[in-house]
Amino acid sequence: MSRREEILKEILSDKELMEKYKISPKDLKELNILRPGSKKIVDVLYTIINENDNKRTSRQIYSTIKNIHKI
Amino acid sequence: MASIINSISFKNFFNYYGEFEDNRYDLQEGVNIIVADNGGGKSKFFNAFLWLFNNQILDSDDKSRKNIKNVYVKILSDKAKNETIIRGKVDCAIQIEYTFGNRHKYQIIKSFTLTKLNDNISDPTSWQYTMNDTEVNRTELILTKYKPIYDEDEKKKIIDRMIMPAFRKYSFFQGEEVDDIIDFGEKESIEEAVKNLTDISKYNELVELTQEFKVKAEKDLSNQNTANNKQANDLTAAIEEKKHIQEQLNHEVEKLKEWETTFSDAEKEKNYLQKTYANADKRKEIDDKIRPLNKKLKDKVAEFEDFLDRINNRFFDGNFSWIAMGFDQVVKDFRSLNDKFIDKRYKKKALMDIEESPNNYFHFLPVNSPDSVSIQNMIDNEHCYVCDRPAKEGTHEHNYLVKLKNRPTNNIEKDKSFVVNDLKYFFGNIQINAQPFYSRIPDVRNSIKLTREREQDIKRQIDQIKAKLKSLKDQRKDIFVGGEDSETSDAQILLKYEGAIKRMTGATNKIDDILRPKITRLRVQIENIENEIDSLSKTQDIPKGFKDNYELSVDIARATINAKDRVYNNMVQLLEKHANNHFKNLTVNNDLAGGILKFEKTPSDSINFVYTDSNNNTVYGSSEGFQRMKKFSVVMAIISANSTEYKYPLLADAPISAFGEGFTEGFFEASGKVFPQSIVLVKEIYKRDDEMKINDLGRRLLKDENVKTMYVNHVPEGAEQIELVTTKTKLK
Repeated sequence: MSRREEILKEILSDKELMEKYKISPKDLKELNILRPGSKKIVDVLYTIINENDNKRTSRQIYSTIKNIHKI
Repeated sequence: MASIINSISFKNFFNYYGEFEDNRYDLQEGVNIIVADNGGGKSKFFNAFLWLFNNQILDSDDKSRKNIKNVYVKILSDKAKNETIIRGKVDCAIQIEYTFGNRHKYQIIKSFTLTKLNDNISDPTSWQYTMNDTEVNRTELILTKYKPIYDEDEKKKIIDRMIMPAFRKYSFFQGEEVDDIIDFGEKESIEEAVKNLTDISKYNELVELTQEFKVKAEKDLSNQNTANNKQANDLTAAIEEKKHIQEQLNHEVEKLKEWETTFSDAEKEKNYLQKTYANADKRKEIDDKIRPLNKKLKDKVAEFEDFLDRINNRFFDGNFSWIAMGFDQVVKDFRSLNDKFIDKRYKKKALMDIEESPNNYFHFLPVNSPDSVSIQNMIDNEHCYVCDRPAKEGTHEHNYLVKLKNRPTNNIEKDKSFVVNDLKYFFGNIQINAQPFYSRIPDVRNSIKLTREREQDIKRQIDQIKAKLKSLKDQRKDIFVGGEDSETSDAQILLKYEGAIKRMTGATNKIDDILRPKITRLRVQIENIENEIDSLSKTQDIPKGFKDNYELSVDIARATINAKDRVYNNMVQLLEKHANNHFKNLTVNNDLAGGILKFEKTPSDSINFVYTDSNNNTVYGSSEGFQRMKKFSVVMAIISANSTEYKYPLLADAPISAFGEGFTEGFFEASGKVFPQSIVLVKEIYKRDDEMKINDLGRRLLKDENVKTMYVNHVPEGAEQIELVTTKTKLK
């Protein structure tokens, strides 16, 4: 598991978040949620983690998020 | 894959005089020990790594790190300096070989060359200095020949890989430096460690980003809001209210930051004062000098008292005979008077004897002759056959014969007194008893002079020891009371210390009782309004994407903060667990039971380090050895808590100076478990009068299978600086 995935897993393991967005411990463990289009929250969060690692600016990352929401 | 130092060699580097081959230390994976007494080249050995990594050395004169180019004259061996001819060149260099993984071996050489201009060798202007390029060579492990590397970036990478700069502080330290690595009073020190061990800085970035996106999403949502209907007005009002509360929250957070700074500053001051009070290492160093001096002083004072006692004896001791001083003439007078007395006495006695028994003195016949039969014949016949003349009865001659016949058979008659008081023996005894004294009279003055000199000598020695002691005690007092600023008085320190604690308590109350609850309340209010905004926006005719964006950004921002706190706290807990394990190992050979180390968060979010006993009572003022071991435990915990194996060697110069054998032994055992390789320079196990120059602990370590190599350094005793050369014996 890459560092990025570790961080993603750590943030997603938030109890409230798991309940609200219906993320099961199994999903988390197997990282099934990383399948494209599986959950919007994962897409957004993974984008933030990834793009920040790629040294993109916050303005650039926000534009990508808006694209995910199609706005 | 770890980096292992295979060898280190010196060329004319301080006391390591000569070529690389003469001063090569081969090292191995595991524990490597270099034993040396003070001045035996420990710090110089360590300086080689300072040169390698930082182009510096630690100047032992003022204990500060200096750039090589400013101290080159000090670095070059004095013997080499002396032997270099004018206009001649001499090199000073270090060479380190290390492997990383099982493929490559690297060789790094740092050097400078000096050209001698004149004979004033300790003057930097007498030398022309040339810093040579750093040589970095590489070879495949299966090959023997090194190939040079020319690319400067590659060279730097190879040097860095030996011990990465971020880890050097945990891997590379000298004596009391360990106290500064983990300065529990500094908020940054544990945080720094946690930062190095976790992705906490990544989480911080993500927290900032997600907070920013939350604000942006809210703004976007607000812009989508269509005007002129009630719900829209409510939404606007809710957003306005949130804005207002947010401002309050920001204001309170600012205040919290200010109070946290106040707390942190006060804490820093308190810890600084505490550290100054308890500058364990320096105090220990001075105490170690004071103790033998105190003993020396005691011995000298005892010697002086003994010396004074003996002075009394010298008056009557035949070897010194001071009592006889000035009696030179008296002896002569006594002798002449005694001679006269003897003369007179004998005359007197002789006269008396003659008068008493003149025949004892005036006869011509042998003693006891004529015999008694012949005398009887002569009496009977009234004739003396000796002188052949008649001795008729009644005559003087006949009477004399009768007297002769009746003479006593024993000649020894009891002495008849001839003087009223016979002083023969009195004067004789005086002469006999005075004999040892008057024979030494000429030497008495010299003996007194020598004794006086000895007295002055001992007094001077005592004064010297006292002066040394006073200076050491003053130094100790300065460390103890005023730290670096010796003019600060004891009372002032105490006042400052109490002030700092008062400020800390004040800040803690303000933060914990007022600000934090208020901030929590405001955050809950904001959260409620956010929910309201969320539900209001859902009923609005706003594209779903904007609503989702807002909702997700709020949730992600919150979850990211939580994740950051969780990671941080988990790491602190993990460190605590590891630190306790190491602490137990480090103190395993000590009689005292070690306590429990606890990491607690303070109001300023730094980690407070508490040391408790098994009943959870805080332990204060445990010995300096324990204090140092606590810090070591944390350093080791930082290394062992790392999820990946620690890849770098430990290089430590006198890390445990004078804390006792229990700690020394524990240190070697524990460091062997944490570091793939440790190179430790110690003097604790050095023993001058031992054949191998190591003490019993040294012999035990020598047998220990974790100890892979052991060297003992030697310097000639009492050598001039110019002849000072460090040599070594490899014991293992």
